[in-house]
Amino acid sequence: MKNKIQGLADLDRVIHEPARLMLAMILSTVESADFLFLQRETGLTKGNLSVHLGKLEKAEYVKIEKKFKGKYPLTICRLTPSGRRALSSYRSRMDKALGKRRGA
Amino acid sequence: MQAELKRVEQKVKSHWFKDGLGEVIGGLMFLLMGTYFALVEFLGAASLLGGLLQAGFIVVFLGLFYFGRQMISGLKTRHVVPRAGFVEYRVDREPQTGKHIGAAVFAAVIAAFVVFSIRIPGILNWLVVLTGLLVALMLLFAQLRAGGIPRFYFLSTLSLILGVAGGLTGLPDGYALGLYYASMGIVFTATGLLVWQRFLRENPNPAGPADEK
Repeated sequence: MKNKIQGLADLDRVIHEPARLMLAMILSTVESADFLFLQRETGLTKGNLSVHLGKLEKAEYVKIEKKFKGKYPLTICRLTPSGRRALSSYRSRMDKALGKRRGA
Repeated sequence: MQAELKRVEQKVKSHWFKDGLGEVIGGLMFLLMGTYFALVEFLGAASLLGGLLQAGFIVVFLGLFYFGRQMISGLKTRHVVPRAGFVEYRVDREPQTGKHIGAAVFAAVIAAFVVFSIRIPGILNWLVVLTGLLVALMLLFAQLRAGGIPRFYFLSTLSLILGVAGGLTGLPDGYALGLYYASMGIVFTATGLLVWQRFLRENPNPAGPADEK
């Protein structure tokens, strides 16, 4: 039977990367957010943000759509159900592992 | 990690209040409410126009609420989205019993307000106090829920003070309520404009569309 700390080895690396974790955490608290909002909240550069969103989209954790709000073109991002599940699973693994270490 | 997620959630929720537009428009709506109450008092319930205005309280209240929301939404789309981005808040899908009870209590208070103000004119001064308390509670709730908007503590305290002061003035009923709403309206508008000014300073309008990808 696996030790809880060993569960860290199976962490989802798409979510585990700090920038993507930030994005997933922000998107998990909203229905959707646009590129500019995410850029301001995370402090990432446009290029970096674009790359990380692309990776999350490729993993089907984030859905990206082009929309208009009034006259403004927006790149709207939302966490997909599988993205929410992945974040939730990541959180529970981390909480278990960190909880065990705190108790040790 | 749970605490960190909560912090992120609060920060995102407080984003809505960062530009102060809600307070500016809310303040203007409060000023109109103040004018409404003072006008009803001035015209008298016995006059045709005064009676009609009093009977139409709910329509006026809901109309201002709807109009205010539309204005805030329009202004945010035009001025806030290009500067700070767009966010659509998540609708709570968890059981909402607490919120439903809160909404029912609020509706009951509004209904009682209308009935009492028509039938028992003397009680209206107490309703100024009650109105001040309700607005104070709503502001406090918004601050606790979203976090990061400490000015709401000040506005909440002020609402309570103005409500109690309005109840003690001895002014005719409608004028006391009108005074409360007008005072709060001026304060809301003023603080909202200050916040709006700071928001514009900190978030200059980008030259072009900001989104990439």
